[in-house]
This record gives sequence, structure tokens and C-alpha cells, in this order.
Amino acid sequence: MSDKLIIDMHDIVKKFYIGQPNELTILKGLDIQVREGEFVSVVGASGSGKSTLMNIIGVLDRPSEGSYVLDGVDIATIADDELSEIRNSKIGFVFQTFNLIPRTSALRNVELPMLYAGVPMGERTRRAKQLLAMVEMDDRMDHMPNELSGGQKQRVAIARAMANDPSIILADEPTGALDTATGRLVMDLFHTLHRDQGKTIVLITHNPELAQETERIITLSDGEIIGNRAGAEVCI
Amino acid sequence: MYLKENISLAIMGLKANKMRALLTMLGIIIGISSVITIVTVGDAMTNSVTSVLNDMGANSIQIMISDKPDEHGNTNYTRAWEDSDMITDEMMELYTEAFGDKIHAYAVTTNLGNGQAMNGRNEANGYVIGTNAGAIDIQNVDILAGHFLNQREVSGSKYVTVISDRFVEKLFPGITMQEALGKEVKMRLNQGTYTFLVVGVYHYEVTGMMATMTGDTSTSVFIPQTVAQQIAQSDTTGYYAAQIKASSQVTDMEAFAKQTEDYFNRHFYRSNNYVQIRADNMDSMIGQMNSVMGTMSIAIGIIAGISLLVGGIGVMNIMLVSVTERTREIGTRKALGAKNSAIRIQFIVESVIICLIGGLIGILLGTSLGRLGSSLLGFASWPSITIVLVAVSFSMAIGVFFGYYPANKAAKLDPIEALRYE
Repeated sequence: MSDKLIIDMHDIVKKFYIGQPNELTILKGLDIQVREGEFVSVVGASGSGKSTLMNIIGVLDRPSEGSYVLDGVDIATIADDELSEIRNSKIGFVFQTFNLIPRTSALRNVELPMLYAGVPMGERTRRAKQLLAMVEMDDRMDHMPNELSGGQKQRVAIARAMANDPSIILADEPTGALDTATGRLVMDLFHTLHRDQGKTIVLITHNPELAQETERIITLSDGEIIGNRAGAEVCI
Repeated sequence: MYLKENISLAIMGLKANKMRALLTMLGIIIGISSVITIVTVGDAMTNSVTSVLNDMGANSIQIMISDKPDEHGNTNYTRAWEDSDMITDEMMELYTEAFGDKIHAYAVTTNLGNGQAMNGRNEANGYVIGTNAGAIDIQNVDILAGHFLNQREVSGSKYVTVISDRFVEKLFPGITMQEALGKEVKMRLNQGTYTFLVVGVYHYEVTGMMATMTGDTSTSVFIPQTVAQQIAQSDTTGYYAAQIKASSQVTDMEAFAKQTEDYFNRHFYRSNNYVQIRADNMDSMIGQMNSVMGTMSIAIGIIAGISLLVGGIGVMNIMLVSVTERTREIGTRKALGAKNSAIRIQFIVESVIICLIGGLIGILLGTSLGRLGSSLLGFASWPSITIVLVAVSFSMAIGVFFGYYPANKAAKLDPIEALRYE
């Protein structure tokens, strides 16, 4: 693990309905730093601001106040259309509901982020096949999402998240829709990515047991960080 | 930039919803196919009518007797035309003298109706027309052998005839046109049998809608008009109509027609209370027809425009449904780094493809219907390349125009909302 900061957040505030009587402050000044190669989990009950934080980390949303530097890029100074480029190159999303594009083969799904990045066709396909082999889905790369099981879908989704070799993998309840055994396989896959490829991973979950497997646990409650400690299995 | 991917995605989407796609395309299919059909049939009609008129010649006029309105502007339809109302040879001669160099030729005709010629077992039917020597310049007769009726034969009431190549083939199978000259043709005509000497053979060209529709084998048989009047045995020695071909000196056919009309009415029909002469030139007839076709084209354009508008709205509707259905997909694409423009292009491509497929089906349908309709008119035609290209580009334009709003709606979706959409 290097000392380079991938996520550097200072005093992040997120408000909704600004200036209206029902103004709502969801995040109340968060400071979060994640170093390159770290495996961090964010836990908290529903309504704690986890999803809002995830949207901000994933550059789907901007904070109302505070500064966010992602892998050396200050998000505050970036135009909206460039945000999609940041998402494309620096973030690999893994969703609870997989979100594979329907009627599109596993291979094409994995190619998609590279398509938006402008990677040429041959190169795209070659790398997508490699990634599918890595998640052991190369024998089903021509299958449509509706022909895959939940665990298989999530493995394809992880391959897709890795497509542009992002700075972080941002996983939002990746095992939430899976049974325990399958969820275990998906978690093992994250550990492999972390250990063998040194990927920075941010795992958002409400499951304390899964969080215990990560290097550091950030606990959110009511929009504030109430805990920031090492996980049980790995000590920093 | 992702054109190929977008096209294959759009086609996959259409395949997954075949029925819906077809119903959506229906408006476009109907619009495009009706335009193609009607334009093709309209072209065939124009061709058929102009070819009939062109046969008469652009620098020709036709004079005919018509009812003269009384002081109230009414005509007496119960009175039959009499001998004294007809156009006579004397009138034509006086007219020719008066107009001199302006007249190239004139043709007068007496129609004797169908005649049947026999030669052993061979038979041939012909439509017997008595005419004068000038007719060759008016009727566009293409002489293959011999000559057309000449002045001597006409004024001398000779029993000679000019027949078509087709008539020769039927009556004298296996002989050349040259050999047909001098043959005698026995013809049953007007309750009598007459023998004519063949002096000329002309080339019969199948033109006009009637000939093609009826598979008409009855071709014109020309005989001197003096002979025709003898055969007709009628007291009537005049003509209902005559065709006049102007010489190259005449530049304004309309004025020429008017002068001719005035001449006849002033000199020959002033004291006739019931009948007058009317003159029409071919240009004005073609012009009248073109203006009718023009009006029809506008009407067609409006109908087609309405059905394409309705079709386009249908496409827009289905695209809006598609955007809503795929909200989550759009959110995912945005999370994976799709720019707004990429999403917009994706949906516009999809809508253009729907319209394009609809347009192509419409072109196929319209071509077949147009081919069918035009062959019924005897002028089987294909739609022009221009109209096909216009149809293709127009359907693509509909796709872009009606696809833009839904596509833009998709492009502007908030990715967070879209990802949360159930």
C-alpha cells in the first residue's frame, strides 16, 4: 500500500432542497481519505447517508460544500460532461442489482466502458475476454444477462467494473441480492483483486460481518462519521 | 462514433419487440408506400396521355363543330347536327388559301368503323379511316414500304389502301412488306365487300392505354376519304372535325388556333344559329392535363404528409415508452461513463432505424402497388430513383425529427434517479 491518496475528502456537506423550508442536510461535513491499494468499507443503517456518500464518491453527484480530490483530480473544478469521463476512467461501479445491459451479451457488457472510452474494437474484445477469464466467466461470454444466475451476473459486472483499469472499485451492496454461498464467492473475488492486483476498493454495505473482512471500516450515522477503525482480520 | 454498436443494439431491440416495432412502423409504411404508388401511377398516366397527344403533334390544332350558345348562353342539345353544319372540303380549301404559308398540312377523316379482310383462311381486322393526303403529316404515320395516300388517289377516288405491318402479317403470313405492295385486299365493310389495292405499309406502334389494355389487334386501315364517302353512301359530305398542322412560320399556336376559329366562324358559320367551330391546340391540351396532374400531386402530398406526420408521432410515442422502460439502463450507461451525447445518439439511431426500415418496407410495397396500377393503365413503370431517394431521406428525417425529443429526454436523465428507477 502506497501513501498516495486516491480519495481525499474534506468537510463534505450534502444538502437537498437548498433554500427551501424543507432543506435537508444529509452529509454533515465528512473527512475521508483512502490510500491507493486500500480495501475500505462504509457501513451504516439505512438513512445514514451511505447512498449519498456513494453517489459523491462515484462522481454521480457533487457535494454542496467541501472539497473532493479523486486520484489527483479536483471534482469541484470539473464541467458536467467531463464528470462522465472521470467515471469512465477512474471508477468501476458494482451494483447490488448488477445492472447489466439487457439483450446485450456478457462480452459486450464488459466492452461497454471501453467503448465509451474510445478503445478500438479489436483491443476492446481482447481485453473483455481477458477480464471474463479472470472472473471465470469466459465460457459464458456470449450469454445474455437473462441467461445468467445472480452470482454469474455479478461476476460479469465486476469484470465490467475493471474494464478501464479504474482507480477505485466502488461496490454498493454487491452481495445484497445473492445467497450466502454466492455472496461469499463474490467477496473472495474482491479480495483477490485487492491482494493480487492491488486494487483500491470501497465497499458500501449494511452487513457488519462483511465489513469486518476489510482493512478499514468507516461507520456512518445520521450523516456523520462515528467510527473509522481497522477491520478485524487485517490490521494496519 | 459508436454508430456500428448503436445500429446493432437498435436492431436487437427491435427484434425483441417485433410486433411493437411493426405497429410503430405502420404509419411510415402507409405514408411512404402511398406516395410511391401514387407518384408511379401518376407518371404512368401522364406518359400515356402525353403520348396520345404527342402522336397528334405539338404544332397541330384540332377544329371541330360544337353547339353555339344562344343569347342566354344555352345550347340546344336536342337538335342533331345536320349536313349543313359540317366542315366541308370547300371550307378547308378556302381556309388553306386564306392562311397560305401558315399551314403545313391538314387532315380530314371519315371513320367507317371496323372492317374485316379475308385471304383464304387468314383474317385481319382493321379500323377503316377515310382520309386525305395531308394526314401523313398529322398522324405520324411511319411508312415502311410504298407510299401514303397521295393527292391523285384521293381526288380520283381510287380504291387503294395503306395498311399496317401487323395487318400484313395476319393477312399474308410470311411475306415481306415490300411484297405486300400491289396485293389486293378484299374487305367486308358497311354491309358490302370492297377490294382495295395496297399502296403502302406503315409501322404500327403499340401506344396508348386502350391498345395495351384490350390487347387490340385492330389497326388503322387508311383509304381515300372520297372513297370512304362513297362507301358510307350518306348524304353527308362533310366532317365533324379536322386536324391542321401549322408550318414553321407559326410560333404562337394559341393565336393560330384563335385565328383559325375566328376565320371559320366569320366566313362559314355566321348565319348558322346552332353550330360554331371550336379550335384547340395540343399545347393547351397538354397544359390542361399537366395542371390537373399538378393539382393531384398537391393533394397526394398533403395526404402523404398527414400520414407521415401521424407515423412520426407514433414513432415518438414508442420512443418515449422505450426511454421510460430503459431508464435503469440509461442510468447504468451514464455510470459507466456514457456522455449525454452518446445516449442521445443511441436513441436517435434507434428511431432513425425504425423509420428507415418502415420506409424501406413502404418503398417495396409502393413499388409493387405502383407497378400493378401502372400496368393496368398500360404504361407499366417503376418509381423513379429520385422519388425512392426522397422517400429514404424523408423517412430518415422523420426518425431524427421525432426521435430527437425522446432521445434528448433520455440524455438529460439524472443518473442517480435513473439508477434508482424501478
